[in-house]
Amino acid sequence: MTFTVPRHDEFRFPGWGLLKGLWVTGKHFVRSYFLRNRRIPGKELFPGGRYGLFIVQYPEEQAPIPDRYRGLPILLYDDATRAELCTACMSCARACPVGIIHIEQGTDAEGKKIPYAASFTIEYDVCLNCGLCMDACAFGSIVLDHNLKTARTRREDFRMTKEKLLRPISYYEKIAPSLWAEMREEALKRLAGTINRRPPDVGRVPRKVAEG
Amino acid sequence: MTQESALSTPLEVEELETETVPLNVGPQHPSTHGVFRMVVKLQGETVVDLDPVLGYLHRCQEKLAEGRTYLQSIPYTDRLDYVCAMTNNHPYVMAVEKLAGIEVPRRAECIRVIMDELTRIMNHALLVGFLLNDMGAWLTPVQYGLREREKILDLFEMASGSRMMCNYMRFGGVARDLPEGFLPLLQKVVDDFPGFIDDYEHLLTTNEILRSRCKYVGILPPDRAIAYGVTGPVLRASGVAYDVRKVDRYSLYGELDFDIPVGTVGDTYDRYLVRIYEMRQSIRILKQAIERLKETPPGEIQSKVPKTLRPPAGEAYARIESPKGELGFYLVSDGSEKPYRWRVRAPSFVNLTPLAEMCRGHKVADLIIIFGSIDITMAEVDR
Repeated sequence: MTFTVPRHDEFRFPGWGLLKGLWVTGKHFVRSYFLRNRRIPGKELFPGGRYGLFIVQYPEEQAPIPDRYRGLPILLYDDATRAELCTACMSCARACPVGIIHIEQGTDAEGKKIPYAASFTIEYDVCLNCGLCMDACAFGSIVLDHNLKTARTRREDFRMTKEKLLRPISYYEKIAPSLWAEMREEALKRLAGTINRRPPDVGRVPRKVAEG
Repeated sequence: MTQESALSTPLEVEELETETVPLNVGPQHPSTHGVFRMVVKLQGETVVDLDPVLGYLHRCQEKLAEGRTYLQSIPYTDRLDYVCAMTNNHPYVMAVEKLAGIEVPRRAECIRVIMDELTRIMNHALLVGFLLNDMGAWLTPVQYGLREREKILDLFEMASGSRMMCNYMRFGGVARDLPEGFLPLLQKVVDDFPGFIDDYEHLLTTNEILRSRCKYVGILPPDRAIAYGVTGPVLRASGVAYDVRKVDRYSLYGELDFDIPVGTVGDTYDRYLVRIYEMRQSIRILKQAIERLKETPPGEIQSKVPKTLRPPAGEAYARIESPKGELGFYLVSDGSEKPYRWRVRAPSFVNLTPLAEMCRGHKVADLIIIFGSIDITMAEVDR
């Protein structure tokens, strides 16, 4: 149940503890010349146990990013139809703990609401990367990117509008295959319904953005 | 006059008046593990009195949480003690579960225990390294600790998506099931880790310098520790076998077999040893938790919880044994979707209170070690 930790009060040859420590560091020093624990994408995260060099030469090589990595939120659109998945249901804006998602729902000429976001802004500089927006989205529209290079020089550049946020589904499928596989069926089924409820050519990404 | 008597008579020195010197350590000081200020009164090199000044990292966290829904506060708990985010999530979701009467599936409990123990190992490995950093063994021990922590952070990243701000636990379970390939890697960590602790012990435990710096430095007697309300490894090092895992038997801990290491003197060396032995016990717990996890059907990780949670009016307190001590959340609900009161019982803050008593009579260099051995995170102290 409980035990007392030994305090090593018995007599020891002076310097013995230092020698033991040197043996440990020496072992690691020698082995670091023969073992190199590379982190290769698609391979194991940390091969090789306790010994070797645990270094990734960052800009040249990059440690693999797991599927579930929570970066900054992005919006998705369908590759074939270029239709945005977002229906401006506001559940992500309500779920956000810091309230940085601003959505304006689109209306037609008579002022009737259409399920698409006329404007969609995320303030990237305040984002907590908590992923609650992604959990709240029932349409699989808002997901988390794997981009690590998020530095900007000006504060205004962190206000991301819809044009800057949109990415094709194929991009997300490439970076997070397992997560997309989980929500694919539901998202595509709901997207078909959303397209039916929208007037034609509303809530579509312009061809220029999609290609550029 | 013989030689003997010449040595025994003291030199005739004129009595000089001495004064204590106030010394300001911090708030920006590498040894304070954050922004913490100590106003130390010195008599020569000896600490006469110490006055801690807190609040440099105050973020209004409790008030912020009162303005948010229950779910939205989970990312904020990560930022209490940023070293161990998983154990911060755990008592908070436990408190809400208590408040709303939510059941947790067995698989989720297994995952929670695994994450808690991984956090404990990670925290202790890092702390021992930083303790040696404070002692002057600059960077070598902490590099070994950081390397092992990296492997555990990789596991956290696989499971939750973030290395430090995990935000993994949810009311009634966890956010997602463990990903493919998690268990083999976890098994590897569990298998490799005893070897790492042996390395650490060979390097440090019997080292002459560490022993002479740590032994009988910063003694906290058990009665004073209890009087101050100290918990965690600091209390256990003083010889009090109090562990919330054994007392409350929350989650899965009631059925797991593990021992509590207890110190005898209550000095810095005991606090170091208790942490080393706790890591070994955590490995034991992990092995049992993995076995139990494998018996549960995959996918059952969260019980049904309404999307907008409105717990009935009332109050709840839930606590766990976090790596630093008893971490508790006290919630008061008024029946709305936001908590009426959101209070944290932070172990770092309470463990910091006997600092002045522990430091009195020691040298300035020992002050840094004693402070490091308490294991605090300023983000949790100030909140």
